[in-house]
Amino acid sequence: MLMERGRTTTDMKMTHVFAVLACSMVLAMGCGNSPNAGGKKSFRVAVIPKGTSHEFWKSVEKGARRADAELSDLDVIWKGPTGEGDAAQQISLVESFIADRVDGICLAPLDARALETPVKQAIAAGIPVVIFDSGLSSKDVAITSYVATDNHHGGELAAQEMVRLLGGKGNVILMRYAIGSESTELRESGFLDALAKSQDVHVLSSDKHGGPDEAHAIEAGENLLSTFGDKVDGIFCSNESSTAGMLTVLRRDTRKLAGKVKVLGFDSSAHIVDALNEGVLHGTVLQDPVQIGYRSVMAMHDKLTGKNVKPRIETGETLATKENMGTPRVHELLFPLEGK
Amino acid sequence: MNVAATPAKRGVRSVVWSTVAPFLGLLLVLAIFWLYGLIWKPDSVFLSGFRMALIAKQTAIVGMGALGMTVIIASGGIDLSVGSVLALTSVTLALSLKEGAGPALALALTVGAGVAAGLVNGILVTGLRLVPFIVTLGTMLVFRGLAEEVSSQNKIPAGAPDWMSTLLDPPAPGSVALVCRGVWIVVVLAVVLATVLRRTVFGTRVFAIGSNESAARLCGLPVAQTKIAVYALGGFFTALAGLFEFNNLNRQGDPTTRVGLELDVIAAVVIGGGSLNGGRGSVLGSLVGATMMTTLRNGCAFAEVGDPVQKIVVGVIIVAAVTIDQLRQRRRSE
Amino acid sequence: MPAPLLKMSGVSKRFGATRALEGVTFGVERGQVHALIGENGAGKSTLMKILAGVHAPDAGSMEVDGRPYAPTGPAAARAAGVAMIYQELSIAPDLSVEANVLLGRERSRAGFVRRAEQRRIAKEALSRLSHPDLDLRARAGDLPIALQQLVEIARALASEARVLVLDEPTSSLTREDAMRLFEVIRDLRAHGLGLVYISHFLEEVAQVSDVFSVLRDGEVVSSGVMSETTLDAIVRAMVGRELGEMFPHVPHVPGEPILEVRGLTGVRAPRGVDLVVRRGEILGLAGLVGAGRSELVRCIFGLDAVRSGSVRVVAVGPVGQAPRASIARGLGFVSEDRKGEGLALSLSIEDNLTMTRLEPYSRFGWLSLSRRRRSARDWMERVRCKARGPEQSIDALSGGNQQKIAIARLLHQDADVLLLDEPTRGIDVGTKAEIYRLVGDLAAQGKAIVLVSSYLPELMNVCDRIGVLSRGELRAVKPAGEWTEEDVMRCATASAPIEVRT
Repeated sequence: MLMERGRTTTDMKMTHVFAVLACSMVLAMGCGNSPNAGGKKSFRVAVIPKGTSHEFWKSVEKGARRADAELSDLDVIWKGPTGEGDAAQQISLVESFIADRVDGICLAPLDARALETPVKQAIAAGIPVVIFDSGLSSKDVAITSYVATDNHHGGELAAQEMVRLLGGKGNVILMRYAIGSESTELRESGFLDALAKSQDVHVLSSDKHGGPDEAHAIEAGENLLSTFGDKVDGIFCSNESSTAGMLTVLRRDTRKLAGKVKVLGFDSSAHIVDALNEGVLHGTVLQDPVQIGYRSVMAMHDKLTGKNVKPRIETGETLATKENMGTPRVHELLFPLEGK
Repeated sequence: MNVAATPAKRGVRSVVWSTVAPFLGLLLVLAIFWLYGLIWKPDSVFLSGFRMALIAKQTAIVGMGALGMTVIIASGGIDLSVGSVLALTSVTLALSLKEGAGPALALALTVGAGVAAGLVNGILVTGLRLVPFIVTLGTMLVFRGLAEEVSSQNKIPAGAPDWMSTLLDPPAPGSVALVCRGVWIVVVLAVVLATVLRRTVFGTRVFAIGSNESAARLCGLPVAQTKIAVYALGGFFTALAGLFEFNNLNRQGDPTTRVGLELDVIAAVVIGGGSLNGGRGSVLGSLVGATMMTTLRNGCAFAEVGDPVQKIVVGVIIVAAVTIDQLRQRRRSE
Repeated sequence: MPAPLLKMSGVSKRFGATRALEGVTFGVERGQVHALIGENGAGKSTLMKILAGVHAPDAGSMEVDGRPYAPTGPAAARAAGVAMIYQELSIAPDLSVEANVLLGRERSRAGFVRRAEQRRIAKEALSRLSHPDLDLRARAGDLPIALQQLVEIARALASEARVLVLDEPTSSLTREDAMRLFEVIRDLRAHGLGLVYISHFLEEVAQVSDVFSVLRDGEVVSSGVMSETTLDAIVRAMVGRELGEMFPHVPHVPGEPILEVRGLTGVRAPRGVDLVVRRGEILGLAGLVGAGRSELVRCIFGLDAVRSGSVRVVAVGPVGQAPRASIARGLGFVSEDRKGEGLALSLSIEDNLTMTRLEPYSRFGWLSLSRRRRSARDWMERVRCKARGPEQSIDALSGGNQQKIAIARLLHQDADVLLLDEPTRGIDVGTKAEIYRLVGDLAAQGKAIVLVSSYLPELMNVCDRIGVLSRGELRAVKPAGEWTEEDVMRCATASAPIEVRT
């Protein structure tokens, strides 16, 4: 009857929908891995960041693309999970690149442990892997090189600056980024380790996470300040989205905490630079993401062309403050996407 | 505010009870943290005006989404795409402002984008005769992808006049507003929506369709049109939530924001007495549900409970609240 | 002397204000078929649900094999050896015959199904029902209804049931299949099972059972040995009153034609039906389940798809294929599926009553709730609906009062042609009489009424004319006085087996 008729037409419609979906999927896959049009043999290297929307990763991309432009025999395939936090999506990305038989993979693992398995698979399949930004938890995976900031040292830098700003005495909050992210966890432990040396600096809270995006960081920050707002003297946030979220909370706070509470962050963005200028943010630890991207691809190229590669490549970390932000070096690190 | 049962001859006690009952869970949560503060943190106050205003502000976005979701769930549907539509509308707003549209035009485009997304959901649900869960599961990805595409996966900062960018800023100290303007907008819209659901032909149809779609069809109700309107209305509220998010992120549109918002919004509606089988849903209840969840999260920070324990607590409270509501319903129908 | 196989004593049950059962005593011996007879709403299904563990009795006790029996649910009932075969079969249509026979009693070791043993058990059960050759791998949903029913009975045997309850087992079977089922029943009886046989069809009951009990208004009003009574005596016990009281006569005179149906053909049924209904006339539609009576009225109303043919409301015009348009043309429809389709159970009486026509209470989309409530109260009085008030939730009402609201809805929308599909199913006797009076009153006011019913006495006594459907075709329409019940049955079951699907 009506139901039955309805069902058959729906079935037909469904078939059409699936057909369209299937076609578009095939097209999409085709776009992603289009083989080189030119006849010249060149290395295809997949570069997989943790996310694609943060400025940090765009800077890494810039460095990777610069390497791509300099090297005539290497092509960079840039592809990452949209939005940070989805390790599962990143695992399947690595797996599909293995299936695709790329010549090399540069990866910033979203999860130090979860990404080990696909990395081992890649190496077993003869594809060299350069790890960048943050490491894998096991040291016996035979990766080609690890290109990263010394995150623990970055955290220590922040702690030393915090102690200096507070005059060696005060109450501090650490707002973490997310569980399972090795680079930020190293910054956090570096911060806490260095802070422990100053007996008169107390940690009020160190178990709250800003979470995957700025909206989550704002709520976490608000909740922290509604509890400790009257006691806190200093705050450290271990990545860009947490820092930006915390700054938004402080600017909006009616108790005029902005500027009074010493805030240190990590990484750079337009929001962070503004806050430095205005004195709401007192310092931010800068990595050199362009270098990370550039040297990762270069290390991979060395490996593919049979040259020696250092197992650990450090790209340096710098504390930017209102005072030093005018210097060319710090300016370049603060605005990695500017100019060349 | 359940349309089904209007207390007429049920006696004063039961009238009071049915008015207070939706708030009981919230009051209980507040009381627990208040007591905790008295005993363990005597030097700080949980029930401070500052904290209450903050909780209200934090509820604004989920609450706004919950207004639309209440109507959708009352009509027997569901919308998993709210988080994505919120991202899409916040990006639409930021982009149009950045490209030089006037604030009024930008706002119109934002609301238009939200309503259009709702219309797509509604038309797919009624036209393809697919269950809304599947349709909106699909459009959740579609709209998220669209948001990321139009923004080139960037956060988009934009300039905006104060009246549309300080909606979530706290009122000046000592002002009579008590909470930020965004919260007042939610309250006003909630009153309007509750009246519409209770007092209009449209509202009656929503509950009739949610309660028994076959009966509604048999009675000659315009089922398809009503459902499409319901999803469009949901999109309207989500667009306003997108405006709030633009405020919340300090005049930015973020294409990756609020993944998983749909679960918070659905939980708020369900805690507030909405039934996923349709036919039941209360605007007041949904707002209380949303407030309860933000209160729990803020309270856990106050009590210095770590994130893992906080998740467990919120999860347990959701199930407990819905169980209690069902017991209450069952007792009333017997 | 051993204890009876099944013994229920003093069983009582209330639902809210409605008394469903009062002190019922009932039992089955080994090798006996006990017929449970009663009208819809007499309490048969409540009694069976208590037996099956769906409901717990408020008072009374039950024993199986002399041991106390208080099932906590269908699984417990099955474990105690009590199996139910409901009118609506509980076959999993996508599973195989074997899986259906073993459903819920899968033989397994360490979580793995033991296929060989399962096959043996299923085969054995089907052999006992003289169908050893039924393909165990066949998809159960593809079997004809009669075989699906056998699969359910086999399931009961596989679970070593000792008491088997058959609820209206022949209602969707052809005559031939029904005869075969009786063979199976006699066979099971010979093997020492106790059977409870529930049916409306008194001739069948007389044919297959040894003893009987008649339920009326929740009480056993008569019981005894089948061979020592007459059908007339049973009918008197069922109805409990003279037919005159049961069917109040309201004088009414059929007038000019108002509804014209020409060659109406649906997807499966109806097939080429021509029909004219007059103002002030009550037209009955009889036929077996699946004969296409419901489909006919649903097609007229535009709920089911129409392949060809036309429906016209005289002086208004043709009716389109949508309930919305039909309502505008003055048609009204009461569904046989009150809970699933007829009423929105979680809403109030007034919501349900006014759902089809809110215009009188709305201006620019805003409702005047007070005017609507006054009007709803008025209509409730006119159909004598017993309830606390218009704001009460409709699921708190008894079936009869719910049905009154469903009919009141048609009156409220001011329908001229009322299509009533099984309006008295599952309603107590007193309310039935009220509904008959209401229908008569409406005819006297010049409304046309089409009444679909499976209860022949109702059709014979309420209607002016009766039409009989079989296999989707309208076989004959004659004044009610020219039919006898036997004629109707003969006409309904005439010709080849009926393709049954409900």
